[in-house]
Amino acid sequence: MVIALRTASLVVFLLLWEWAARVPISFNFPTPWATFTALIELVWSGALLQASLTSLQSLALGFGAAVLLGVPFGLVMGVVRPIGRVARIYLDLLIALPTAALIPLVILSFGISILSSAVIVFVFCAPFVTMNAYGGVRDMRPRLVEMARSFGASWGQLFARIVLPSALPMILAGLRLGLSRAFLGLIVAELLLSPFGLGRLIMDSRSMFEHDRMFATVLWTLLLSGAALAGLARLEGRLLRWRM
Amino acid sequence: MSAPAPIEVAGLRKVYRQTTTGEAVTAIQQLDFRIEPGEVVAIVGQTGCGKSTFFDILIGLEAPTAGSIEIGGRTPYGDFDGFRGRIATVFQQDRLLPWRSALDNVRLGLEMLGLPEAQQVERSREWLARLGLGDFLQAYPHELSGGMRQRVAIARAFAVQPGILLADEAFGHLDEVTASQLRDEFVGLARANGATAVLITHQLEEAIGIGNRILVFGKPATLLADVRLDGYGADDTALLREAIQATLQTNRIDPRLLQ
Repeated sequence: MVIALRTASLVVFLLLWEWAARVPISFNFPTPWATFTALIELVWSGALLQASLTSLQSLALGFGAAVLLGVPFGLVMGVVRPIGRVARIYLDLLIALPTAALIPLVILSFGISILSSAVIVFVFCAPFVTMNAYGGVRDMRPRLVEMARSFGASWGQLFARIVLPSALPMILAGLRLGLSRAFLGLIVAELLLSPFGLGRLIMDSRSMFEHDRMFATVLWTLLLSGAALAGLARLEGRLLRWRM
Repeated sequence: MSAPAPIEVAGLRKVYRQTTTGEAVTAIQQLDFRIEPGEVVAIVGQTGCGKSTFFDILIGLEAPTAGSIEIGGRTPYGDFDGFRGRIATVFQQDRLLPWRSALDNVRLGLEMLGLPEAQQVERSREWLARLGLGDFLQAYPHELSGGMRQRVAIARAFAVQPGILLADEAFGHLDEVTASQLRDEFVGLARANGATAVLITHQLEEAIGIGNRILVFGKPATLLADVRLDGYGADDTALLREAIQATLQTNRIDPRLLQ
């Protein structure tokens, strides 16, 4: 039933796309078929894989750093309340800020390199990852802490057995949100600044009026982020089996 | 079981400062009594009379404002190492960890004791089986009924083999049949293991059904009556109720305090 519905929605989407390409909204709006053939061509020539590898490097660096720094810092914010109360002001600001506005600053400091797109990816996703870890600790039920303490839990045991597992659902939700933000940051960075990866492929195709190739690259990016998010969702399902 | 020690309460007083208004609230006015090893004691009093605060101090989660509680000559507050495995509590709600199976929930206290893993598992299995949950070792709390969850909590408390067992209105939220059944099991197991048991309840009838001694708390907590039930039979409920009312009256205390 679900599969049938999903297939139906995909068919409807493709039909709408085809219609949009025929009723010329703009003369360079490619049909789904043209996009798919361009996609296959791009995969075949290796250009797409090459670009993906470059992009995924920045993504892994930026997102990885956000997880490795953000999650522990968020946990510390939750456990040591004064730190949390101060740091959350800055995080709120970072979340409210149109992050792309920081890009010129990043280029000034890091130059035009893979590293600078990684830094932008980090800036895009780290506040969300951190805030969720913080929220996970804050939402913890104090009654469970009391219970564990009544059994003589040490601080280390409290953290490992109560704080961390009860924050885990929020942390994982933060990782998913963070990962989608990371893809956003990656493409923004590559479009606006560094001539690397998928963003560059999109810009190059656009300047050559190869709109089918451009669309194919966008579609590919969508597939990549979809696959990454699905992977995370699976991990989440496995770690949170107790909720089923 | 770790050897039960006497509980000595002397001049105990607890005043809270309310976080919102800054107003001082007296939870415990004055408490003085002694509970002997192996006694089964029911503490009865109105809701909000400071019974739970008394437990928090007894467990060592809170410091008294004045006076002291000593268990075997030691003060529980902050002394988690000294009291690990000596006191265990069954709380008002089951307070199970939702991400752990029944078996792993029972193991929690044993992990704190640092027992070898095989021994933790064996002892947890044993206690769950004794409480009739042998077939639900791997069940998560949300898959169990309220009564079953409270059984897991009881198993968790008994598994550490403490000398002192506490129950804080532990059966109040269950239906009458399940509640009295679990209460009897709790008291029976405590007696069989020679442990001291202290149960908090807000119903006099329930208190009479429980143990050898009833402590009646006023509000804020003071000791209104200390009644020993030895010598009374199970059918003497009415008689006991009268006796307690009489005790309250001779102390010029309004019996309606117990409604």
